[in-house]
Amino acid sequence: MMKMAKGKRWFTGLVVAAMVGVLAGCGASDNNGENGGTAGANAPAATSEASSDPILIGMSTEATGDNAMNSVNLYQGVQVAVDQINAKGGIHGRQVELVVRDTEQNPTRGISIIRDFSQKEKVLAAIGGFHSTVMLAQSPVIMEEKLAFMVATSNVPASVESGMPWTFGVRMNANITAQYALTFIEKHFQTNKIAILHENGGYGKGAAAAMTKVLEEKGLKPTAVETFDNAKDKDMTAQVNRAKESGAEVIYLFGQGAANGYVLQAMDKLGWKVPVVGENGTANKGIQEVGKELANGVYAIQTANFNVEQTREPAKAFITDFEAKFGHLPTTFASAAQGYDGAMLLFQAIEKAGLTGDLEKDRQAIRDTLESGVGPYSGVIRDWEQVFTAENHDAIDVNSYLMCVWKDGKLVVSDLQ
Amino acid sequence: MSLVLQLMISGLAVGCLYALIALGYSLTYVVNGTLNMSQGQLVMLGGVIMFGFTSHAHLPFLVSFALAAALVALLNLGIERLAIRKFDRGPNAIEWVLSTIAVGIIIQDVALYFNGPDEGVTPSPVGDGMLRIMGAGVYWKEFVFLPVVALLLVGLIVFYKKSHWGLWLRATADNRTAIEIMGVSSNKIVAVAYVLSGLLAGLGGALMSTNYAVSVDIGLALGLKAISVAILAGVNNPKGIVAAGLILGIAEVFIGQYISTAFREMFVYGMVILVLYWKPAGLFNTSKTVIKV
Repeated sequence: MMKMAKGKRWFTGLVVAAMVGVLAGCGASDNNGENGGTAGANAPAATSEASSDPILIGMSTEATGDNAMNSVNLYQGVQVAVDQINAKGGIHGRQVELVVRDTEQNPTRGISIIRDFSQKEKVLAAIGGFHSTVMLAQSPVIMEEKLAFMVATSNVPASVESGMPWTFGVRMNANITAQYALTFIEKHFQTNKIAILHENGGYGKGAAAAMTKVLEEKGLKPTAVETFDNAKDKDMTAQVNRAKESGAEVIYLFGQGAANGYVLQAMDKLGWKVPVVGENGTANKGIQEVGKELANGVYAIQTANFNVEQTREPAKAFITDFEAKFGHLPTTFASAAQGYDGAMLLFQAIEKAGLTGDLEKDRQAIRDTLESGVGPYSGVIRDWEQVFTAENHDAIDVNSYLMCVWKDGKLVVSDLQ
Repeated sequence: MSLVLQLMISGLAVGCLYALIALGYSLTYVVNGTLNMSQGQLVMLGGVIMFGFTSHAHLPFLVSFALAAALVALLNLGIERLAIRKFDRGPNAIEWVLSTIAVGIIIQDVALYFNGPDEGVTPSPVGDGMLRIMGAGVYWKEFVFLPVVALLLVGLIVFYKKSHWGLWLRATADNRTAIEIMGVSSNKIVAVAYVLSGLLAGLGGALMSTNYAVSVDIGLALGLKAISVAILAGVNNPKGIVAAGLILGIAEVFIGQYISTAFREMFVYGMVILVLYWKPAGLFNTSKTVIKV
């Protein structure tokens, strides 16, 4: 069913073969990814209501690069949703099929993937949006192509807000996250002296801007805002020391994986111990690999946690299927849960909208249904009555968050909420 | 005072890493004028192999270390034969730039296929303890980088000075035609240089993985940083390369602390360009064709 699963090996083979070609002096070649994902599959002709052709959904993911190990969670969450809907007989009797593309964390490639989804693969709607820099580039193109897109991780507010009628978010919007984080910090640490340490891509910048904004609304300022390059910087002494000198009492940390670990090491060297609060970046295991026991007590804002007994029925079913399919728990809980819920919401919208076979009309109908008619839905994260409205395309609000914390090498639900 | 010392020490630790990787470039550059653009990916491979052997295959630390170095060295022998020898047609040849970049991409993709995108840190035999020097902290696992880099540097210099292979290498660097006339196969010498360079990359990657997270995509960024260290120092001067690596590491931390963390790369590379204006052949370089030991 998953085109990528079969196609991936061939794809890798193709790339290697192409590169060997380069080696033999044939000249540069880097566009082989174009057809890799759907090798062997024919783009369907215009669909019709009675047709038994599969319903195609675009899946934009990062399969390569330093975010790949986190991004894969979103993709896997979506795969579980696809398997479940297909096991129930699909949507209106038609199976759901993903058209999977790797953005390689490259915004330019991300854009061509959206065009590809819309014009060549003729998908009904799409999901993805892990990497914020890529997502930011994709958003305006999604609007041009008039294709409903579910953003299931990227935190940057602008990719869904600010007049984007075609994007919908089941993600932790940085603005909402910052409000939640500030409330949490003030409530439990009785301080608002916050230093922001963030990576210099869309993810970190979005979070830094959001936290600065919520502080400013209270007439406050972050004590320090320091940046680092997630891929290159290995020593964070300077950043951490500047934060320390600023008199900060909490660090709001938005790097990805190992880079966060280097921040903890620098804190250790400088003998500085203050609470560290992050989001997805501090939830994945890179921070634990590098920081070891230093990671204990680091907070990660999530929307789900699968290291603990699940109380919600949909979450139980989800995690059972996830483990059966992949043999392990998700490594970034929020992304897996959001990928699943995002895909399910999309399916519900397609089901409710009904398909006419006219691609343009169907896409419009799916968008309209998403905006006004999706829900009630009982998902992994929570229950929704009406998920989206014309004014609000973000499904996740402050009440959907779950504060998690590292304890003995495991991310568990925090006692402080 | 303690802060300045802390910045120095932190800079030294990361500088050692740059120096170690940059040394690998020098070996091949001097003998035939090629820079292996896949050097960063070779370092990555050393690290990923090291992590895989210790953490997944549960081999002893030293065995994994030796295997990582040996495998990368062997691979570099193949790279020389397939991606260098044919494309290195004298001083004006640039085909090897493309061929070695291609090799780097292949290495990364193959490593991704087998290893996946996970980040890992190899447990260091010296543990996770911290050494405190007048209040400034450094992990023992970073601190051991210093003697290891010193040892490798001394080893390299002794090799150049005392062994006949070292002599041939230096002779090839000086005048390849002359050494051919003397009946020595310069292809063989180049191959030896590549094996040694691979060995250094493997060692560097394996060592690096004991303190820094290694994953398949770290190669390019590391390679670029190291190549700037090598060029800054003067590619044919191993001692200079180590010095330049340490200087760059320290400069990064100080610029981050006293100027800006957001613009530190810009300042660092701005400085590199200024230095090259002042000394086009590199900080510690005199002649392009003689190995300075």
